[in-house]
Amino acid sequence: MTDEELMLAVCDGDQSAYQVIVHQHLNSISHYAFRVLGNQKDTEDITQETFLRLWINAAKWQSEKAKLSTWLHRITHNLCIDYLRKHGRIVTQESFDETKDDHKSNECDNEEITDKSNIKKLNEQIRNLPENQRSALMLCHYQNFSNKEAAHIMNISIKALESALARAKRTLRKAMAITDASKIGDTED
Amino acid sequence: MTFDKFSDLVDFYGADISVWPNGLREECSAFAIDNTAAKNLLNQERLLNEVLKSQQIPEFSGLLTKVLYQELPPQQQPFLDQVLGWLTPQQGSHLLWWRPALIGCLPLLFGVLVGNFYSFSIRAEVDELDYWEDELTLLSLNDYTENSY
Repeated sequence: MTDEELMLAVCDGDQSAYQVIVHQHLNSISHYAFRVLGNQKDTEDITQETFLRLWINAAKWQSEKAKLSTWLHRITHNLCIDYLRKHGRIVTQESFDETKDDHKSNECDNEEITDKSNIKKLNEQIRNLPENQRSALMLCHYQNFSNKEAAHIMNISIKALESALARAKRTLRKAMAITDASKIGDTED
Repeated sequence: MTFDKFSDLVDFYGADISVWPNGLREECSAFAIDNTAAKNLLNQERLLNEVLKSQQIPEFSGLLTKVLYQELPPQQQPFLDQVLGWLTPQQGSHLLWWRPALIGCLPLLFGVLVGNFYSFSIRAEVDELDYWEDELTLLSLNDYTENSY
């Protein structure tokens, strides 16, 4: 069944269509919420609320304006932003800092990547990014949205999104350069 | 090619020059080989991508069940459907005939309101003004002086 058919069924109150949509989109929605919020409990609440809104406002979705995944991410994004504005920046979960233990690579550059403190510092930098830069980075990098779709989700222009993305990357690269420099300094000492 | 322009391109297209647009690929590859800062920039971008990839998402066990079986409230209908639903109720429709009647009266109310506020360049003849002017003229002709003797 296509997204349109599923959503039409949801509009008619078909709960099995709703369940199919949940199965299809739960992972990407919960992962996005987690990347923005950074803790499991709030992520679960926001994910539940997102699908509740999908059920209530199913008739408002317009297939010609946005894909279903884009629309759902937009709902999630707005809920996350509301949450962060209401509760401040609560991004405190150790698992956010953790990296995959089995992360191994053969490239010589990746020796640096396995340096956990380096990664931890970068993750800290990601957490400290302004909310719009972090969202832009997460949508384009992890959720594989195009710039146009990401801009639609964040309700900003494509130019503003590109600018946010560039600024986020520059901040992180700068942080990496500082970390590298301090590392070199440490070894020289 | 300048470093700033190269930096913008890295921001836009990522660290893998081989997937950049044809027109840029050759020039930028050559620039990245010759320029140390550009080379460092590409390395940093690659490292950043690896770090971003390495972020772990926890297992949300039980979330699927929670979302699937949460209590679903009534759905919100589009405005037109809400209006039509109100106009033609499913239950007790014999008592609710006044709803369509009320809607039918709306154009009439609208006409009254518009007519009350706008004259549409139609001038009503006002006889009262002439009447009062005549009245005042007649009053002015009377002699109201008191004859004291």
